[in-house]
Amino acid sequence: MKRELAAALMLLAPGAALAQGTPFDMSPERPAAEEQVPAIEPPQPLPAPQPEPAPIPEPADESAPEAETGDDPAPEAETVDDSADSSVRHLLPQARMRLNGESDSRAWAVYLTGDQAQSAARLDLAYSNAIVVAPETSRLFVSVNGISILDQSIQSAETLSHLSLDVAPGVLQPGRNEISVRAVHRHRTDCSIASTYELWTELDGAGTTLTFTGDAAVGPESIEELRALGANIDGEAQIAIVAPGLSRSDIGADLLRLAQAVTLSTSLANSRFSIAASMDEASQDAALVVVVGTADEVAALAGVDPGEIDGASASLHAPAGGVPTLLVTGRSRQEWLAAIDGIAQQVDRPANSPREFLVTEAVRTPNASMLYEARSVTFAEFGIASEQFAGRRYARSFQFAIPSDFYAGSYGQARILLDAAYTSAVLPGGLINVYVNGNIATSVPMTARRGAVLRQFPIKVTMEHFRPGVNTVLLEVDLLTQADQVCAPGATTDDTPRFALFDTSRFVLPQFARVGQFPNLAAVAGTGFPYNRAERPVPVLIGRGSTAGLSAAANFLANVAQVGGRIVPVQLVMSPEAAREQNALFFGTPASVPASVLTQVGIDAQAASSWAPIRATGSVAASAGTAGANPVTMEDWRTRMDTGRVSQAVDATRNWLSETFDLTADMLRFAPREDPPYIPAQTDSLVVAQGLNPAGTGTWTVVAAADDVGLEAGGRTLASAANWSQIAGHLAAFPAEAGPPLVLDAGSVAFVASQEPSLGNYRLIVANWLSSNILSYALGLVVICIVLGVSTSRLLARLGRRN
Amino acid sequence: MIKLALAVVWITAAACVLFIVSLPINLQTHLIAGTIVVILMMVFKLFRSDGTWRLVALAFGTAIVLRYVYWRTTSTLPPVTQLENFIPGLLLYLAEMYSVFMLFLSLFIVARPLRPRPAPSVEEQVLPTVDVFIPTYNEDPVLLADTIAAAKAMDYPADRFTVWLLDDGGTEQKRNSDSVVDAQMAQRRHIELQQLCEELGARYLTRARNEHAKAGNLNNGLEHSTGELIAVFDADHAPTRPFLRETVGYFREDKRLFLVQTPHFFLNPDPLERNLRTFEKMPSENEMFYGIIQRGLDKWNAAFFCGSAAVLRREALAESKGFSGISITEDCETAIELHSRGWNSVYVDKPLIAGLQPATFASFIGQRSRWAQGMMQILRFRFPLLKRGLSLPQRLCYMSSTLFWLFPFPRTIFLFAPLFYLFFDLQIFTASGGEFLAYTLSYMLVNLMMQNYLYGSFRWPWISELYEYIQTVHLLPAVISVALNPRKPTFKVTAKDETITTSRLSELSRPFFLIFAVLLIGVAVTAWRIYAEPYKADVTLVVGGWNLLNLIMAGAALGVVAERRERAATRRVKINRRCEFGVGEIWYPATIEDVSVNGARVRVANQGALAGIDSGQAAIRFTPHWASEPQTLPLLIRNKDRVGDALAIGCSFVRSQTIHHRMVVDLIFADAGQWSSFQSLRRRNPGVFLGTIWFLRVALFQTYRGLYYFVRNRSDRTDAARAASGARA
Repeated sequence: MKRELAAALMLLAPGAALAQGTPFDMSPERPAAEEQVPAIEPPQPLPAPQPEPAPIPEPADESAPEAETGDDPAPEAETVDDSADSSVRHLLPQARMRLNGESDSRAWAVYLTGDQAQSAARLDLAYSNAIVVAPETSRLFVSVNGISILDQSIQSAETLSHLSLDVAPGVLQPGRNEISVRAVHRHRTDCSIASTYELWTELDGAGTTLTFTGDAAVGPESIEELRALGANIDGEAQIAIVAPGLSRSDIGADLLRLAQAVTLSTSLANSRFSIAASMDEASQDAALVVVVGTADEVAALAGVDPGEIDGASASLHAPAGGVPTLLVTGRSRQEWLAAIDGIAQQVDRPANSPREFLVTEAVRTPNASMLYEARSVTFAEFGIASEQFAGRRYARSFQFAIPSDFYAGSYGQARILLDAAYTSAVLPGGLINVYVNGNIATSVPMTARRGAVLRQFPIKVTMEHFRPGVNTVLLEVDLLTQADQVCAPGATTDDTPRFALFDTSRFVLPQFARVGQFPNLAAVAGTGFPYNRAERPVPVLIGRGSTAGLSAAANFLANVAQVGGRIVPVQLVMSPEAAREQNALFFGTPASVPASVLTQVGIDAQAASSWAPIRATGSVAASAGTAGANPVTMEDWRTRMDTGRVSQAVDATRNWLSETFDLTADMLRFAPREDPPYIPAQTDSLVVAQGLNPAGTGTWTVVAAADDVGLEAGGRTLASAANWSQIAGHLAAFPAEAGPPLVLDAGSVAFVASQEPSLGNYRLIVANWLSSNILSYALGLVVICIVLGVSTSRLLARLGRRN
Repeated sequence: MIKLALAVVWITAAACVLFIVSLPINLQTHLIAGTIVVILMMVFKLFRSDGTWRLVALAFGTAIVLRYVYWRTTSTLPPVTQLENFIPGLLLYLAEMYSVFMLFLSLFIVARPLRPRPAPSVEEQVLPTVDVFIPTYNEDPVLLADTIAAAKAMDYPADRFTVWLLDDGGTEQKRNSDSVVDAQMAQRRHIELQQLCEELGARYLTRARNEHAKAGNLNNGLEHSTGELIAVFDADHAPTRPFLRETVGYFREDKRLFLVQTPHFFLNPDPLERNLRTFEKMPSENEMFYGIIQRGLDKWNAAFFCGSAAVLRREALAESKGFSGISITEDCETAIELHSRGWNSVYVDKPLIAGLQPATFASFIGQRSRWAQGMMQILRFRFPLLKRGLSLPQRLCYMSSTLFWLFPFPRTIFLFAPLFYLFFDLQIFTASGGEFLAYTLSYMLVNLMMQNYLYGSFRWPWISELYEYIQTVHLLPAVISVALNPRKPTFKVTAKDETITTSRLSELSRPFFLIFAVLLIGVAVTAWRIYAEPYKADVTLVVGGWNLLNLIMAGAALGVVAERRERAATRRVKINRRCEFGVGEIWYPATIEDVSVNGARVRVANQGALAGIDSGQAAIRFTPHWASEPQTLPLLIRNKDRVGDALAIGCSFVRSQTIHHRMVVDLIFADAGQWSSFQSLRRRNPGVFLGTIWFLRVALFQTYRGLYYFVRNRSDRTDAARAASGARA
């Protein structure tokens, strides 16, 4: 193995790298790290075990890659139909997947049926890249299950390039397959850090597919193979539940259960549910139609003979060229309910059983490890391999998950213990930046002038931006050299490694405070808390029982089931009174949801009744006077004013404090203030709000839109994982036009014990509360010190010799 | 019962403080809470800084210090994987923790020092018999004459006390020394002192061999005497008249009392006071100890024997077989032994003796080395924390007194720690500039203010640090050597009668200039780094600031080792005493304005007849406290000034008879009140802010003066060398 590695080095390493020897050798003097990093540039994970030499198609020609499927620059038209074609499988979990910076990679999992894995397959790839990407030094790599199937220069600045690669037999496997793409970019002319942000390669969802060229139709053919259900070009999958019995009987709760069971049976990143009593438009475009009802009800729809159904039955029918249909039926309601149970049993898990990880593989592998308590995780466990890097801005990210009762955002500090090295060529002063969920968490300068080997170098990462559920941490290192400053022609092509990261680096999460908080929509979005823990049915009120509301509920609960990893039992209720003391869900419009419920979750019920949104048909007139996405604040105006010397000095102090200590005036409070009720703005299309239930024992969550049309659309909004993950605070209002929701942080928060009582946990909870209510801490400290001082005085008067 | 309830309240409150302080709150919370506490401490200071308010303020300070400790412990230590950072980082951490630990011990000791109490009076007929021991080794007979005379002049029935001169300079061993010169000198001393004692009515005692130094000498005195009580005075510590009246009463009150200790008051400035010219306006170094710490120790029945100016009970000493002599600080060792045997001690906060302290920097260091080494020996051989028989407060008190002398270690670390970063780029303290600012600044401010609350008018800001720094340079090797060879150090008598006739650099000054130069380079490196490495300017600024603080301290120390010429050989004491001034046979009414052991300044009311006299013999006539008739003391007129319509005549004493010694002593030492009033003049609290500004000004000037001496010294030497080579040519 060693020898092979060495040979690989000889082949791959450019002269400069060889001459350099191994600049980052951690092993000889210190036992801390045992890794030997191959001097391979560009960055490459340590060689994964390769079962057989991988066929690496070489691009023959710059202008016309040999395997191109066609020159059609507008592929969308032709690919629209693909979703119906079971021989084509869209691979991307999103419409476009972008690889940024000088080195970026993504890996995700795709499930295939046994037939698909065995049939001959062709991987089609469509991509484009930034015009500044230098083709001669930039490469795109694709591998499936660790076997490289593409390694070629990136040269598609003008148009979308289509590559077509034959996948060797045996590469694809039944069940889970991991696809990983990696791009290495260099700028054509610029050597600055800023220029690295201009580098990107984008995979196009429509043109990135697996095509099975075998004879047989190879879509999912059984419920077990539902996991192999593909999404459309946007990475979304429409799932239409058709229940003819919906209009006659009260089966809403059962359908919600079915929706959750189905979503857990698939491996879709974004599944969009619609519920209807009959086949409609939605079911035409669907990736899956679920027909549910008694045999008599469904016979016509599913084309089966009711006589053939002789008990609970759940089966998948995949007509060639048609939409796969899941038929859930039985002779009676009891029987099709049993059929639903049959599906559910396969994917459900008991409440409160701890999970090792949150499943994210449809979007990103590895799955996010669930960190319930103090843990120290190596980068290797996060899927980051030791690697060297020759560019200017090194970036790697990893993800992990934390439980919903996380309560350490104000005080907590995690740490990254970095095992890394940089050469003397790297100019000191470069920053190591750590981003948590897109927010800057730490910025540490690298200060050594002659390079350094960092061993378990501690970087404090504030937990301020952590949220329940999946978190993404991005580690970015600026690595400018003298040569970069000069930036002579060709400087960007120099591939001498200047930085190395070792997989022995660690992410250390200390013990953190855990207590359930109401309201906290982030916990709902992150792990489905508290609904994911329900053992008794959760009351769900759907305004006027509309199907729009039911669809929205299905989408909401499907997401809860997905992040919660289990099926939430539900029951439909007609009146909020029934949910007084429970965790409940409400879906509807201001007109259909009782005003008391809106008030309870902090929506101004009266104002909401006149909520008439402007549909996203054109420009949205900004309405002054309402709390829109850009509320008028005193702070804004203060910064705009020209003021006198004294106030300038005050401002300077304020700025200095906020820059140095991240301290702002609103942090100086004794306790959180109550929020005024929210008035939905005209621009809002969907509002998700949470509050305590009237009994104060649980939480109510309301999903409201102005009308049923809006609610239907809102359901689709929630179906997108990207939107779902942004729900936080006590209220999130999605604008009619695409964009991030307005999130209002919870003012006063009620706590509910989620852990066994322990002093250690209480201490941390108190620490977090006091860290966000600074003046209370100061007051407490002062008062207790006065008590101590006075009692010391009294005691001293009676101890020892007295005057 | 109330006591128990209070204890419960106190323990609860303390536990709450610990809980609140150890919460892992964020930086912002600490910053705000710290700022509020600092402001409260300042505001309290403006109104009340005593009693319960003082303790409340100290509780505030304690909370912030503990928060600093929590933060420092949990998040600033460099990772163990980087040994080059970790080891110095850990040392710095330990040094800081030592300082905090000592701060808390001090808090305990001086939480509420006992206020001075009225001396218990004793009826004449039951006054105990007292043996007054004056151990001597090599002191000048004139000095001894004053001390003996002052001892004899104490207000106490003559038949109830005996003054013993315990001479260790005239032992048989000395008189039979192999060196003939030494032997002759010892013999001469033996005879001379015997004669002196005889004249003054004291008893002379010497012994065969100089075993166990001062402790052995005192024990020899014990063997030859029988008094119930023993008073000990160093050869240069002359007691005032009421000394025994103020002290012996306590022994009747408490049968288990073994010690009454009184403060040491010095007539002359120590090298720092002399060279920085602070003697007249700033409280002396030892006033913190005698003015506050001994009173605090007294509260816990842990005031200890300081070798002189104390009265002890023979019965107690008999139990411990005399004065202990394992360590070279026999005084403290004896006290710890007797405390552990259940004997009690009392401290009387009233200066009742006046003495001399080392005048030169070298002898000052010599004295401190002895103390430090002795205390280390006690720590080693009589580890107070585990010493059976001591109460818990006593254990803590003795731990504080002995551990204090470890200060050279942390001082050294604080001195060089910033250089690790500035010169070698080591990260021994992992914190961002903001964290450093929020935690360390609040800690330092609180620390300064706590010291001010604790010692306020007895110790000005930064003076403790300066004293510790000037001692550290030479004490560090001494402490290390005693740690390696605990039995090696021997008792050396501190020279106190030196005078400095020319301005010069101390022979021990060289390391101070070296350190100053290194720190100065550190400042230059700081400036260069801020310019060349702007990306870490925040940390560089903080560390550079720390180094600058060290430099200021080192600069002030240059002034301390640049010894000023002393104008008056002995200290003049202001008194105001009626007398008659006589030239020839004519006596004029006059007032003695000030007096020293050598002479006096006499103010004579307008007397034209004296205008012509510029020199020659004269005399004064006054009634000493021990006589009923006026006695005559001959003088030589040195100079005279016209002050208004009076004449101020400076003259020196002509001591030809024993009675003259007694008269001079009566002038100087009769009145104990004068020492107290002199001390109280200096005892004012400038506050942290003004005190710091004052210190900065002193430090700047002293840096200049030290460097000036250095340059002059160099050029003198070059001149001398040139002259020498010229002579050869």
